[in-house]
Amino acid sequence: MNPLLRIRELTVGFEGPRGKNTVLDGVSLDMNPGEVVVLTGETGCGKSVLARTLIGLPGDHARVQGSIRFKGRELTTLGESRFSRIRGRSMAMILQNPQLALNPVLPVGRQLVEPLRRHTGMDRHAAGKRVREGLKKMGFERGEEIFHRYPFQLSGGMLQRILIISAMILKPELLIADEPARALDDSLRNSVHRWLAESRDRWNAAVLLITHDLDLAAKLASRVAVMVAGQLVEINTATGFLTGPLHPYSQSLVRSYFNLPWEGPADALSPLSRSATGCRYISRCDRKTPRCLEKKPEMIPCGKGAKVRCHHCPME
Amino acid sequence: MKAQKRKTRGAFLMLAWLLVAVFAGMIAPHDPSRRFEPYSPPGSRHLLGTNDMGYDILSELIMGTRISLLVGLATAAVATLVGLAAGLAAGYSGRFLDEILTGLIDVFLMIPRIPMLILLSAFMQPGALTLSILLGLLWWPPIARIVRSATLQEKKAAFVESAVCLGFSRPRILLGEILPNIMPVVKAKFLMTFASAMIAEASISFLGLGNPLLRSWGRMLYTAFNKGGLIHGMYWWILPPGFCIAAVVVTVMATGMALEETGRSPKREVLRP
Amino acid sequence: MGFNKTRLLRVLLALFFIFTLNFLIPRMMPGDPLVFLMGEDVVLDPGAMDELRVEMGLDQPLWRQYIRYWGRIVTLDFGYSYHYNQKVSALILSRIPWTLGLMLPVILLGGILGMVTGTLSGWKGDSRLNRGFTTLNLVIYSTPPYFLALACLYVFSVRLELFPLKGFMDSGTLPDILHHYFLPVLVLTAFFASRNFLLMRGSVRQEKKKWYVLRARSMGIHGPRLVFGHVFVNAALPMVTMIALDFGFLFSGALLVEIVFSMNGMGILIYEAVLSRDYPLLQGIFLVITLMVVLANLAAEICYHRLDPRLRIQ
Repeated sequence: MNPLLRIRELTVGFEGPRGKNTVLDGVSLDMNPGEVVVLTGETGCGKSVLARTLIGLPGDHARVQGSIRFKGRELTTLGESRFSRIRGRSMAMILQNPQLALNPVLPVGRQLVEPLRRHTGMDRHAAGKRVREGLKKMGFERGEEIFHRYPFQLSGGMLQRILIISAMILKPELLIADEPARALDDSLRNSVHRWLAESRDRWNAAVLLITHDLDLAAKLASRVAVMVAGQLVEINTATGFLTGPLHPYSQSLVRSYFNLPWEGPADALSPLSRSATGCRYISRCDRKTPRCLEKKPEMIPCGKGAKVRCHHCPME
Repeated sequence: MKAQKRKTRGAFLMLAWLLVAVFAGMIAPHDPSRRFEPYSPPGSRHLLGTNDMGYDILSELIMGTRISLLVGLATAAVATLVGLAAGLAAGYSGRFLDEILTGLIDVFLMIPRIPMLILLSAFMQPGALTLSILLGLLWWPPIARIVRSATLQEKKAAFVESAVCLGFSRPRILLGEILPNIMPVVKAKFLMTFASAMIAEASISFLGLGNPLLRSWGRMLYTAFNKGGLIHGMYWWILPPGFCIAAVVVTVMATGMALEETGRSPKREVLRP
Repeated sequence: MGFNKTRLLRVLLALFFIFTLNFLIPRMMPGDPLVFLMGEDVVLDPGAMDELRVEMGLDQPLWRQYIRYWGRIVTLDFGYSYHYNQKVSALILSRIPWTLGLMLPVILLGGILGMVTGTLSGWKGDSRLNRGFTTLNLVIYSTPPYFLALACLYVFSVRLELFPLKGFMDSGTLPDILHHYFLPVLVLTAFFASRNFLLMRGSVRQEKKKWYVLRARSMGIHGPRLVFGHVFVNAALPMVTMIALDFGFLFSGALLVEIVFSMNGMGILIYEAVLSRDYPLLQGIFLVITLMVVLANLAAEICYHRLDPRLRIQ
């Protein structure tokens, strides 16, 4: 069966003031309906760029190479007006700044109604009713009041909830959430992920969840992908990742997150290799061979349903 | 990226104009006060012909660079100095002084500048220096306003750092920190004021209000318009001064805008990554 | 509404201050204040001048003159022009319609044109067309409008003889007036439109990068609905103030262009006052302009507060 989302060798570069800058490098990933894939890695490594490239909005001066197939359709060559028909309907995105994600001079209700009308052609009243129902269902008893409020009058938590409602209202098959709980405090964090899980449970959506929070990965994820400097270094099942991470970087991530003792050969903070050939993680690795110095590793299958960017699979 | 290129290109062009202004005496083919046959069309001796008094237009044009640029620069200098002082004082001091200064700035901002300038010039017939001072007094409030808001922003950032590291820094040290950080904005505003001042001076001269001895480009337009240049279709008289004004102003404004773009501190941007 | 009170106070203070300046300046100039209050074009014998001095209250202490001054202003008596032998207020009133006929279309057309083109330019990426058009606007804005007027006059009236050279009308019929008004309206509209273009373009370029635009696009909003329904609305807010202020400068904005085209509005009135050193007229006009500017400032503030919900709802 064809995967819902099929990313192959996605490479994205930007023209900056100091020349070209490659932000994503040969990213390949599949996603299927009903699964939650957590994408994690350090800040600034390109996860947000991936999210935005998937939805076709990588940003100014971006060069996109590779392939993104969504429901059998190639997205990288899709024209803007066609793409806009998919956005908000079959795929939707949730951003990290609820306070800034809505137009400050328009009432909230109107901004929720707008995409609904755009995609379904409903009239104002029907769409308004649907939005109000959605608000109530998500726990806003005073949905009517919220409808007419402006974003600056609402708290971050409420806004994020509203944004999630908005993203889910047309039951998109792919939901991309870029650190949706970042701006919120702990009590709301769990709720956010609960709401996201709803989409998977209710209509079998695929969810790409970008987060640093490995606890949530433990609770929600079916699979975990780890990204470093624009490259995926490991794709594993959630259990596999948490109990036995394959890549040195994933290992340090898991260990530091759960405060486990370090069992590696060298200093965990030893610098990465900067040589043009060979794997960058030589200094932190306990299974290196001469080949690791000569050639940069590719993603290889390793264990049940997992892949790692290494010359040797630790499971063997 | 692009703004950087524009900034350097603009700087070069402005330097070129300044050089023309400085070396005008040597570049001009004739003494602009020497009389020849009036109303002559362009020829080999007079590339732009002569005006109603018989002065060589090209020489007058080149010498005019001095006056026009001088007034613009002097005004920008005065306005920036006063505006900087006021803005820093308002942004950096306590609420009371800030309220007073802001009120003052707001009031001055509401003075209709060109009409006031016309009124004062009608009364005083100012020479270059007086005009620059008048212009400076009318153009400092916008600078003060920008400086004030920039200072307020910097105060939040610099204060946090310094206060933590050094305990309670002396105001002078902080000014040594805040001032360099707001310089990009100040520089951009300086250039914009320069451009506005040149246009203002040209307008006043065009009305015939300035000192007649002040032979700026605006004054040339006044003479051309009033002494028959237009009616007799003497485009070599009418068009060059205007083109010069436009050329300098475009250059200065474009550089100022490019400065605004490059001067933006990355940490302050409310943009997505 | 807290803002209103402080703002209103500041505005009134500004008015007060400027009007006071207007009072003080002629009286502080070196020389005979009578000259500065009457104009230099008037020749009278010493006896008449002394009478006039008394009539004008110049023999009174300064503070008494000041009170008289305000008394006259409150009754909208802006002085008397000895040059024209008319009350300043009457003179102004007679010329206003001609300037309005010029400036109102200019502000409205220039506003709409500039804002729409500026939005499109700011939104679209860096194409050759876009950059070229932006440079064109930059050049137009940098050129003194009266020079543009001179150039147009030269090309279209002197050389091509398509448009009349002088005046605001020959026969007084509507088509005739429109014919005369065409070039000045064109030149000034170009100027205002270019300024609005540049401002709007900058504003849109900033707005374009904001998060809410990304979110709207990610929800499928695109095209005119995105640009004009979301971005324009935010980017236009600062422009509202600018355009409101344009109305304040209704009378002086066209000054030099009116001179070039020898029209019959306020601009020419100012010019003639300058030429004949008709100080009372100049001062009267200055007062009227100040009043308009200050009122426009107030109107701009109020407009802005009503349009931006963040300020409207407190």
